[in-house]
Amino acid sequence: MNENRGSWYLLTGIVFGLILGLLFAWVISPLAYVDTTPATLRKDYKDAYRLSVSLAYLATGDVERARARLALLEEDDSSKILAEQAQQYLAEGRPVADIKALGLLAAALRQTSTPKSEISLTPLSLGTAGSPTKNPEHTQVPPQSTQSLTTGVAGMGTLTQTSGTPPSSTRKPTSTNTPLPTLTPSPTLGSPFVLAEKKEICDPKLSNPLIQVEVVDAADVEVPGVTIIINWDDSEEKFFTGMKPEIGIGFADYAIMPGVTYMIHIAEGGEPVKDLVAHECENEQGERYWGGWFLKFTQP
Amino acid sequence: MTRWIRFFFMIIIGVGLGLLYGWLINPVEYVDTTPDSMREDYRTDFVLMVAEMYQSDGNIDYAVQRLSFLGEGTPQEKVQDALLFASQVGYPLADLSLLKDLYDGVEHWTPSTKVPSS
Repeated sequence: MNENRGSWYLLTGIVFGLILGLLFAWVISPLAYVDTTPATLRKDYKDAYRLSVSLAYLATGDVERARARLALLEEDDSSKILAEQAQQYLAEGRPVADIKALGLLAAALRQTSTPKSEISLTPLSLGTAGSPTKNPEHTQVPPQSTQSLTTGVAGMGTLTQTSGTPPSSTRKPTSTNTPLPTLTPSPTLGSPFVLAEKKEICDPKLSNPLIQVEVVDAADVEVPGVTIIINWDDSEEKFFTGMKPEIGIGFADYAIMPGVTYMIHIAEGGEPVKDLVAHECENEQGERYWGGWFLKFTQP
Repeated sequence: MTRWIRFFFMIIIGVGLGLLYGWLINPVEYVDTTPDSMREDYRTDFVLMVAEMYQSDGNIDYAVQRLSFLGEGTPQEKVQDALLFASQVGYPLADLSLLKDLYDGVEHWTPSTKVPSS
């Protein structure tokens, strides 16, 4: 070999090494996504995941389990994101049940907000190194007895668990929260809601005139998930309390068009409120703008 | 001969630099993944969510549609995998019972059954 060729061969070696590395990484053993977490899901899948958590919450009423599941998405303000998703679904005309589920969970999370530091995002320990498993804390603890469950799945046989003496691989709860009483995920049934307050509102900060609605129960506690029906001309739409938990879980609003007369009523029953029309307001500079209405419904 | 040793040494350095860049400086970030790549415990918890909904509404068509979130595979396989995993790691009996009920539901479900559109 000619020693006068300089040191270019060293650079050639590095480049050759990089090519080999990339060949290995991209061709021989390309990256495969396995064992990912819900936090890495694409946005549309995250939306679907959130909806599933909400519907499961609606089925069980277990807000702490729902909170733990949402924590897996590693989002800053689950309540706000749920409310935004509910509003987006409302605008897209998605099923009412889905919208209510999202709104109710948003409201429930707001009601039972827990300091973030108390919730661990670490999945449950399976007891096997390198293969942790997650799950929100369970809800039911059977009494001090041995219970069996025949699964019927091939190869599984009969499961037996003795409560009070958990097996070594028992899942550990992810959350250190004290389980809270089950929240009833539906509006309080009882007397029909009646109009307790009706007033014009003038707020120059609002870009559109709004009909703002607050719904409270007999104890003056805000009620989320109440369906409000609004009619105008030959049209009808629904909106729900709890979609803006940052304002109030019993709050809802609807943007109205000037010159159109609206009527609203609570779907669960109650008197209709008619002749709601955007009215003119005037600010300190004498400029005119459109104002709306505030309506408060309560149960007698 | 010394040049060849140096040459191969530089190749090793090149590979090392590539790994340093790929693993430490600019490691892979998982984004925009699909549910079929989720770890088994997360998949099991999702199936449990479906089981909770199924217990509430009793609609096996909806349950099957919701299970399709997890990607390829039959509903029976998905629920069976979840049930096996849940039993192995010690899910509470109440949850196992829910999964069992869902398994019973999907066991007799066939693809010809109408699946709701929403």
